[in-house]
Amino acid sequence: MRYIWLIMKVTFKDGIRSRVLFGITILSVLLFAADVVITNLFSLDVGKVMIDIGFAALSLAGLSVIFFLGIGMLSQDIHNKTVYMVISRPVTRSQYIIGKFGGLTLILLVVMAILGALALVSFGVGSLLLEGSALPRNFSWPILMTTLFFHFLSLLVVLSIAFFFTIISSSMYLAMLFTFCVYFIGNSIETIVKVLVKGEFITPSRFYVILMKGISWFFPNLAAFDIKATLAYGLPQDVTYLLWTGVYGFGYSFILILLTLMVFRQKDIC
Amino acid sequence: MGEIVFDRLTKSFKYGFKRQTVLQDLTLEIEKGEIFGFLGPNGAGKSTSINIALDFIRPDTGKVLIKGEPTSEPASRRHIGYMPEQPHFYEQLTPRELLEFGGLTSGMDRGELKVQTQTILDKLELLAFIDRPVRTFSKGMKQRIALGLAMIHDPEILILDEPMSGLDPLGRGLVSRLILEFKKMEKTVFFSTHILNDVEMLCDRIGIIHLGKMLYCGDIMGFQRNFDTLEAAFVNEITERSQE
Repeated sequence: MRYIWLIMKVTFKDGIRSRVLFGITILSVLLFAADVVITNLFSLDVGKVMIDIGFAALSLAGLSVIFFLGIGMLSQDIHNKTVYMVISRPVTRSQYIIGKFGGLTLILLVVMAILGALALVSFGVGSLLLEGSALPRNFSWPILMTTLFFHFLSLLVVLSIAFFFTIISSSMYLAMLFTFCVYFIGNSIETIVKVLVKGEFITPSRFYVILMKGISWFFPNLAAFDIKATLAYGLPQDVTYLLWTGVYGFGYSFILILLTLMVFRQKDIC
Repeated sequence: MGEIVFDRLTKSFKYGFKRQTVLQDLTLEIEKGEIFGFLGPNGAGKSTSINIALDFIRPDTGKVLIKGEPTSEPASRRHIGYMPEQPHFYEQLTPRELLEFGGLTSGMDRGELKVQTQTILDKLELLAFIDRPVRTFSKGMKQRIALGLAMIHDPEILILDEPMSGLDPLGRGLVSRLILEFKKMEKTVFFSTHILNDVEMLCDRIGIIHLGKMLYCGDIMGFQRNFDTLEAAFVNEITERSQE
């Protein structure tokens, strides 16, 4: 546990001082400022517009952290052999992966906490400028926090996917490409399966429906974590759904990290 | 039994559809307190052997023992200080933080580590830069930090992969001095190099490797025979073997 903590600490220090992170934060601040300005241009559903733009900015920041900082740092460790300075000590490879993942999760958490707070500020400023109409109907702080938590959880799943691909691929760009593909599929697979199963617009073959359902079990359903509609429209949240989605998110990340460990333990690092 | 034992190591890598053997039945034993120079032309298998000794890569057959413990056991690395050929660090960290990490992961306590960090950085003439991020350092300074990381926990064995490459004459002098200091303390140094002058000056024994096979293991004079310099003997040996 001591080694994991030490690796987490150096990963966090190295990442949090990175200029990449500074750039991502500046970009996000600009997006939140733009959120207030853009929302002013709308006359209907102002609350929903504000929430959508605010969370889009959060997503962009979170994904940038994963793609440019997470994949970048891990890839540098593996492909530039920075990892030698860690595993030449009495540290196991599993401790290294868990520590590294922990450190990057911590960075993601801190970034999400800071940007989440900035998002709240932008919502606040927006509602002041628009005399309260910027806040969605039945706005509730617990729902906002839950939405932010699930947003973070979806990023955690993407981070574990990024870890897996960085370890198995030979270059950083391949890892980025694979992770992006899975992210894209993960966000759209639920809608595709729904359309196919309902058969309202098309009548697909049974084989195709089964195939897509199979694929949907394999790829992460990232849309499941997107509960901002309940926040934007002031809808009640289904606790059982939230609970199972939480289990699903942590479970998916856990399995991916386990797979990453299995691959990394056997890998020649040279 | 020796401090470091390479026992019938064989390793091959896959390049496309072909497998290329880079180490063939390599056997070597390094005794306690000796400075051993591992020589060979580029691609001979020096770094591969070192990488196996640190468990970065796994051999197809054979094993490496460090003080009797197989390198597959992380605990065996307690005894080792390692310096890679091209050191890379967490660039945003400072020498103090890097050495702290190295010391703590090697089982040192904080009090002991604080004193040792100052001593090592002073020896490496880097004390003035103790709190400056490593990303601002020159190649030579990074090389010295790597040596500091290898020595921070006062290991019994130093494994150095091309420690002199990229260093200016002053830097090389500093590394040589530190290696000799290490020997005085009856510690073991195993290093690979291309720079044969350093080998003549530092090593008790040498090992010559070519195309993954050990050609010679013994003292320098035994290898040099009638040649004026070690370099001449080395070039002659490698040329002859390449023509076979």
